[in-house]
Amino acid sequence: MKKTNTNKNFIIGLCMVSAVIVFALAGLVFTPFDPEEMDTASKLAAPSLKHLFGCDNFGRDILSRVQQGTRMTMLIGLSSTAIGAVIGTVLGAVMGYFGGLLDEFLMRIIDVLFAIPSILLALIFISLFGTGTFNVILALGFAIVPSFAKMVRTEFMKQREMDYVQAARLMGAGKARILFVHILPNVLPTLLNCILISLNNAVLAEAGMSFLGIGVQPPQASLGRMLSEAQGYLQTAPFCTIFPGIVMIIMLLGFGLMSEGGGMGHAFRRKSKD
Amino acid sequence: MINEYVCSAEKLFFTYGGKKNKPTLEEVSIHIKSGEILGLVGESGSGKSTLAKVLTGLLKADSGKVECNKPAMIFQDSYSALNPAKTIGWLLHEVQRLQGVKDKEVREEEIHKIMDAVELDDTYLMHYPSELSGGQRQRVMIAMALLAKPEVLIADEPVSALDVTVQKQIVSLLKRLSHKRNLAVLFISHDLRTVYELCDRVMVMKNGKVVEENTKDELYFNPKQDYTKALLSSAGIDWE
Repeated sequence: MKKTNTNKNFIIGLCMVSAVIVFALAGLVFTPFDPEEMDTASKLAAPSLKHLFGCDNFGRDILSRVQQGTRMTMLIGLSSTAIGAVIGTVLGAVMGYFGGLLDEFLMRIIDVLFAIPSILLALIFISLFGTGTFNVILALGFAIVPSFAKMVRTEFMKQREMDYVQAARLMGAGKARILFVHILPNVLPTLLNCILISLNNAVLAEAGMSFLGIGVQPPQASLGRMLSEAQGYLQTAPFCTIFPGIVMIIMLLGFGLMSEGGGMGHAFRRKSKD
Repeated sequence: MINEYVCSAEKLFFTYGGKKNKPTLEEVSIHIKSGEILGLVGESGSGKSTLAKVLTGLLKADSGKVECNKPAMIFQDSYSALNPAKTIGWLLHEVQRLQGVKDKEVREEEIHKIMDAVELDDTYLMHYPSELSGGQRQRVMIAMALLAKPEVLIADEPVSALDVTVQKQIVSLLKRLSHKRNLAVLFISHDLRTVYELCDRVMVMKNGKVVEENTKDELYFNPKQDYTKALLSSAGIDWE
């Protein structure tokens, strides 16, 4: 019963995220207006048949900007998570499998990085290397590395004691093959859940950074940037906040449901015959 | 190789966690000839599995000499010993890939032969280890070990987790394979009756040392050491 609910949540989450992706990608083919085109006559225009989501304080079509902004937010979320996941997984795998002095040394560095909140780490990175989409991706990716490394390290430490790893060594498998062909698939269910949680965090962090003005720079749109720009019009033009907010909530809720209770893991677990 | 044996070890010492601890293996020597099945018995913690790992090279002895020709190992817990994320087919292909067999068709032909030898249907190749029973998994372990074309097969309590009927099937399979392929087998077990049924010679270990070694009939019906006598008595074997 519990497993059925978990799978149901995963499917609902997947549908929500897919809907957001389709909505965002549709903008590549067609947007009602140019997302960056300003029309002073339509400044803060309420939702209508012409502008379904209304217009912002520069008269830009919010629907078109939400489509562009969702793509940007997803690009940042996916890219930064990919950077964090790849570097963190390689580091964690090496630390967990080999242990020893290298593990001790890297763990102390990770402990220090862990003591600093991720968003603060990203802020330090931005202050050192400057703003811009690429730097935001690198900053968030860098901030995500420690959590991936720590999680993967623990999993590899558990797996390295399993007999199948010893059997692979005995058969003559090299260290890299044991790490990434034999052990990694067994870590995948946990890793995929961690990726979903990180996607969630990265989207939130991007929104936070753009809200603070150090994320995506105007005139480019991102969901966080749009919320930041709309904060002055919460009472007079609430639709400027509502539509990007709704898309962000659907996306975050979708990722949350997908990762809930190890939903991804079920695809990799099989019942024992014994 | 030390003389005619396919697996030999002389005066092995091994200690877990540094030399200040009590040695797990103390001056252990072992010799197995081609086609011979040597039984290794002893209570838990006597060093049997450690000796198996030292012989295969999974652990490095602190001192002593080990020479084992192409060893392969069958682990006690087949659930842990088969990669749960891979299908049986993948696992059998992997053994051959690691042996340098690049041609997929050659690998498939070998796999078909070996599945036949361990009396498993080819349909199991599509299954994951968790979808197989304990006996079937142990057969897969044997198939994997044989694909590595070993001269010495080290079986670390391969039947202890199986029910009696399946135990008998695996034991007779090991016996047939050993005779057919002239394979040296080190059979580690708690079960003295199974050891008698399968092995040619038996070695008894206690606290990391070999206390007695002889042919099975001599050891079972004319034991020299008190520990061996106690071990046989506790298994309900009338040695007197």
